Amino acid sequence: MNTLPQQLANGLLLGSMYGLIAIGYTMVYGIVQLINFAHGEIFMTGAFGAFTVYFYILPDGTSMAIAVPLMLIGGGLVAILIAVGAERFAYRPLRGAPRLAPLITAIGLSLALQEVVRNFYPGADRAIAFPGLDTTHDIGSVTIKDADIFLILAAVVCMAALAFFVRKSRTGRAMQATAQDPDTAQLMGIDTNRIIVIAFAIGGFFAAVAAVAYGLKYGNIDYRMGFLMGLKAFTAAVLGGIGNIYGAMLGGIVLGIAETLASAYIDGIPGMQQLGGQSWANVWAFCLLILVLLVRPQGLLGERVADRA
Amino acid sequence: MTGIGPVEPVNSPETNESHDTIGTDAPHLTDRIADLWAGLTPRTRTAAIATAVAGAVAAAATLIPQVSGDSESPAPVPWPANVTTWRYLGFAAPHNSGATSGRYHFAVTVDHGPPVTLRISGTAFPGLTAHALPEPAFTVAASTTRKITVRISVSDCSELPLNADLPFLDVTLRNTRAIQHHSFIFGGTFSRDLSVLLHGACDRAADGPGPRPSGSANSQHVDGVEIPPNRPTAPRALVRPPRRHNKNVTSELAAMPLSAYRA
Amino acid sequence: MRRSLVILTSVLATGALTLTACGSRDDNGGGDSAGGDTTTLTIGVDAPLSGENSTTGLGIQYGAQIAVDDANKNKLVPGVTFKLKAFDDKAQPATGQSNATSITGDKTAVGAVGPLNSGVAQSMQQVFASANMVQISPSNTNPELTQGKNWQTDKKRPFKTYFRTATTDELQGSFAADYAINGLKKKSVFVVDDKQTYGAGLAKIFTEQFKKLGGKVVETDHVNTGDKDFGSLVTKIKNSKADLLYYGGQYDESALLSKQMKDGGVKIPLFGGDGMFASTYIEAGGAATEGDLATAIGVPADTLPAAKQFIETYKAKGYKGDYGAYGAYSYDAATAIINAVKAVVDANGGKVPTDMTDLRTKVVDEVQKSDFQGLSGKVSFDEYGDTTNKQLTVYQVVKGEWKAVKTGTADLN
Repeated sequence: MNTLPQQLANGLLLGSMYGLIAIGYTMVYGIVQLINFAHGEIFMTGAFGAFTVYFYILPDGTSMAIAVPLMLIGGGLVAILIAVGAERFAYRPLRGAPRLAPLITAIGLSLALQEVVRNFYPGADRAIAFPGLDTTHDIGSVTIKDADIFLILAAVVCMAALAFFVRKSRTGRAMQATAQDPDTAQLMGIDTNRIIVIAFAIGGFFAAVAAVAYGLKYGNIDYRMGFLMGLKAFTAAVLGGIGNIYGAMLGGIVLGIAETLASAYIDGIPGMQQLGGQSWANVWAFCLLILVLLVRPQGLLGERVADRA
Repeated sequence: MTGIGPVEPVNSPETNESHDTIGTDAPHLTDRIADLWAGLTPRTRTAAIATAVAGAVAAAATLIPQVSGDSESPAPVPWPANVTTWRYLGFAAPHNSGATSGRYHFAVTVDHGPPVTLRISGTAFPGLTAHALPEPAFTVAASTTRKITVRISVSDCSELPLNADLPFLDVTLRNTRAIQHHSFIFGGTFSRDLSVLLHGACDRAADGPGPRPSGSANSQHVDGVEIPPNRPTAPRALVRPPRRHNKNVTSELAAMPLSAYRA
Repeated sequence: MRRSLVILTSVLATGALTLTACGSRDDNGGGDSAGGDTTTLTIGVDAPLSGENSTTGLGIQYGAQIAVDDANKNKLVPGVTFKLKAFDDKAQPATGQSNATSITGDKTAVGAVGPLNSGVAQSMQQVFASANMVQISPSNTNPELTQGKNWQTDKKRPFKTYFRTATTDELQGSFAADYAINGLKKKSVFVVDDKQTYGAGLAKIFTEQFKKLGGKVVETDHVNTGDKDFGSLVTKIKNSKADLLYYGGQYDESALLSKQMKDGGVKIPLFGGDGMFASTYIEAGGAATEGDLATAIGVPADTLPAAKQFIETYKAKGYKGDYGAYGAYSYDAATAIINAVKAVVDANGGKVPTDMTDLRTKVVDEVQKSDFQGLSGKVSFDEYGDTTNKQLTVYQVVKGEWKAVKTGTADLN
């Protein structure tokens, strides 16, 4: 049996999820040069928001066709609220402070969000079962399930909408301008604070979409799910060229496929058995990151820009 | 006035202020009850005392037997598997290397609780059968140890691993509490002794009249004698003999039934 | 400048997030009401109380808590009030080691119960041995802990202060292999482990025994603790045509693996060890876990009449976690320490020895001599510090609950 198509599909799915989260890192970085390390936790709270809608608000036995959009709205609202709140109360007061200050704030915020969820969300000290979309389909030698289809569709739709928004809409162009030069943009009459809030909100919503997809795919969520996913998504953003939204998605997909193929095939290479398998996937993914950064320090799609600092 | 400070003494010398001690002007609850009691007529008092005493006696009569019943009853009846131990003693009878069955002695002890009836329902592998001699079922009373003999027969060499480390006996145990299916697992000595039987029965079949397992010499030993290890586990054991059937089929081996605990 | 910031940030963040809150949580429920002449002695508990493995870890904490409460209530040792002090090791060896140091540094501590994970135990043993303080684990199953690195050929006890009320993986792995071959009639297995001391050790023993019994190990792989996506691994399992997946590790990963495997169209059962015998496994994996199996130490708690009271107390107090896997063993471990203190006090004319070092040493000796009826059966230790009560059970998920399908008792002489 040829497993390559299936493994590519696995990688693409994982990568789409990384990509959706990476958008949040890359947009915020592109506009305020802040690495929002709490973004992984925003992803996590999005999952809990969606779960709350499903478990506490919707009546039992709601069809998933109705539940999923409502979960997206609920999770999205929670994630946007927290992302925007973080911007307003944690990062804005530190605007203009040395760069390490907001960075450390972000790390603190990330821990705080984890602990708040663990301590105050009922049952969150252990994994919580999330409703799944588990019907499977065989397409040739590839088996995928409904949750995977949802993830791919969500990634494509989100990406297309974002591209359209950034290129065509007034706000989107204002966003590009702010990214290019916030001071001049402000002089030209752009409300940069509004633009920053919008960037955080879009990042939060995309994280929530990824979170719902995560829950549907893996069937459970826990308060620490944002840590590893956030770190991987950040890696994807750097790999694709931080600041570039297409780069984030591309970086995510490259990272996902690289991880999957490494864990699938490296131990089949003679003499490499010890360095293959699932447990080495992260090692190979980061090797790839180092290689790419050596050759293209600005990332796959990043532009070489003169340092502003 | 900060509002924070040491508590002022109630009878401070420089008192002009009045101290309100909460509850001083209200009579104590006990005083009120005493007053109430004193206000009752002697007849009523007697009646109240009588009622209280009767109530207490009734309560004690209903509660005490329960309490003492709980605390005095010995530990509840244990499940049979938790009080039964098996210990391997050794070969029961010499058997030559070509034999397809062997007899082994075990000591079965029941620690406490009601007597336990045991029946051997199987052994480690399909292809082996086991039953106790002379009766398939036997009973062991509490705090006693009974020596029993188990006959193990090889019925089919094809599926038998010859050097299994931890062979076991599947036993059905029954006492007044439950019926349990339980495995008793044996280490070192029994696994070596069983291995002698398996090699004797199956190597011959597989290899033709080839070299005998040297361990068969030890099979002259009987009960309780420490049997020295046989040769180290041979790689040959991994070679699967061709499928052969029906060497002395003693009975059909049924699959282990799922455990059915019954209260 | 900006790029170096990104790199610095990554390094910083990775470091900072790895060291998240390595604190310890104190939880002394006993409460020493007594004044006067009573001496308060502390028993430490170390287990993962938050995050990974915490379901079973909390079962250990509260199992010991109930033992301490019972001892205080029944005045088991006159003049001594026991206090439980719980430490959270987050399943991290380094945290476990620092907790062990805290426990041995406590002037009132006489012994410790825990940890949950064999890998954590390895880092704690030396600390307790140096302090001559008894440590009893209710759940460590790796044979090396009591029988030394070369336990298969040359058993040698490394630490005389370490005991356990759990049986070893030598038995567990063999029991599982036997059930896979003879009970489930499975012939080819895919073995996965999490590279931890416990998981890798168990998987290795299972592999050896499974081969010995005539089974075939078609492929092996390893995962990292904390992994969430097993898509690639599932495809490999599918391709291998194995009819059973054996997993050495904890429920956190195996529940996800089982779900993703079944969703990926691989309808074979997952079989694991006591590390995944927890209600959380079924909750986290959902319906996909139906038919999965796990071996666990001991016999089902509902066949232990003595444990009935314990379970009722556990539920009545509303304790979190799962007592099913190790609760009764934790209770017995704590009771073994308490009984040892009693023996020392009795031998000393009813007084607690004033010299703490002396008391700790004597308690180690008395624990070695333990012989009493605990919740899980007879509690006594052999010359390696292993329990003599070697019982095992195979459980299977039936209609969303762990059901015992086979029980066994071993006599390894």
